[in-house]
Amino acid sequence: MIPSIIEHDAVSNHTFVAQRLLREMGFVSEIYAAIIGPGCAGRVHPLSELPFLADGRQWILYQCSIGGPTADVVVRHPGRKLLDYHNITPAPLVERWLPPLGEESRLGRQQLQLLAPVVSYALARSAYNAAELAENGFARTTVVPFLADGGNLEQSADPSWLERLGKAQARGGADWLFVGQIAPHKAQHDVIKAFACYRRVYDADARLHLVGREMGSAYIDALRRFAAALGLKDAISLPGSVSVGALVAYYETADVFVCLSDHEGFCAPIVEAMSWGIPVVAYAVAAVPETVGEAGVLLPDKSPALVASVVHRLLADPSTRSSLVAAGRLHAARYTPGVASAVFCRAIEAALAVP
Amino acid sequence: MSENPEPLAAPLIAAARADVERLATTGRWTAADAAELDRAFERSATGALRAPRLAERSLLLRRIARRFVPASARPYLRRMLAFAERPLRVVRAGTNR
Repeated sequence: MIPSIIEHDAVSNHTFVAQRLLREMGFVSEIYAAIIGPGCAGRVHPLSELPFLADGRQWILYQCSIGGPTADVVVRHPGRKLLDYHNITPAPLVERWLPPLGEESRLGRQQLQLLAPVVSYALARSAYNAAELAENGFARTTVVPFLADGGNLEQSADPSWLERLGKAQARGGADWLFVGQIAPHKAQHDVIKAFACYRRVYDADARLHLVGREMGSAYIDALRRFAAALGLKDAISLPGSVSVGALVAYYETADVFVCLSDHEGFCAPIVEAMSWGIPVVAYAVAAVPETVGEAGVLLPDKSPALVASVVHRLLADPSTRSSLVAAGRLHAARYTPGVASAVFCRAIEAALAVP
Repeated sequence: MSENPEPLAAPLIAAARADVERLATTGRWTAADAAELDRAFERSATGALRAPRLAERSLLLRRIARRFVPASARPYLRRMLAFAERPLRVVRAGTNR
């Protein structure tokens, strides 16, 4: 069960992979969602169709990343319950821009306390998330990495995107990349600030690509206004949600991945960037230090000048850059679909063994 | 938030911190520049958050007008609405900051 499911979304992709793995383990597995986005119809049932069978054979695996009525259905359901916790964005980070989302975030954290007594086993995306579950009273928790669709990023880059990005690259200047929802807690405005400093001090030809679907219209509008006010409208691209082929093209052409999020429960794009051999510079907050490990540059603060100087030194020093790229590839191997799937299956077996 | 203990990144951050100090000393990038960036984003945020409210007000005006204004008076209505929507366009152009 999942509150809402949509294409090109990390939690939704994770849910589809979990379903495939459960079926491979021999279970009958169906996905039920309160909101079904375009592209998911036919693969997901409306929540209203969820059977309520008290025969002990029905289990619920609830994908938790926001509050809402789905959690109440989970609590009321007679079946055994497992929770898959992706973390819930703290309300103060989003409510200025999206007041209803702030409400849902607050509700989600309250619902965690209702879920704790009825959930027999919980899976957490990171140790950071597991610690939050323990604080909320979940008795049995294990860390299961993010489940990526193995075939997704093995696709070739879309030639038209590659050509477009390659042409810009040929004119010189570094390509900064961040991939993630265009949302206030992902702090793309801080990336723009650091990028503005970098352009002024180190590299006047640099470009910034902020790839991802927007969460509401106000924040992305603010980013566009900000870029225009700084005279960086042509240097900063906000292409929205892109195809897998286009995303691969961005990863193939990026020089550095910069993540200045104020909150992440895991941050899958960091791992994707590492696997593509892109050095990662990230603000050390929430689960980010755990996701980056020792394979990237973790920033103790995100003042524009510090971020810009770190990126400049990283790109100017081939030795440090290649060491970080090698460390990143090694680190990303811990999250390959095969490894993550094996951990997920072991966790499900452990959950089944709980009396 | 802890300091990064990672051996590869630690010297990089230390060197970057020294760069930041040099930039400030030479005036190439100072605390005032950072503060101006903060203010610029805040202005953008205020404008972006105000725009949907103005759009909603404009939509409401249209709905009310459609209901109460006869078809023969619609050309005048359009001109009136264009006038009523003028502040929205001004905000979008960013000239009223």
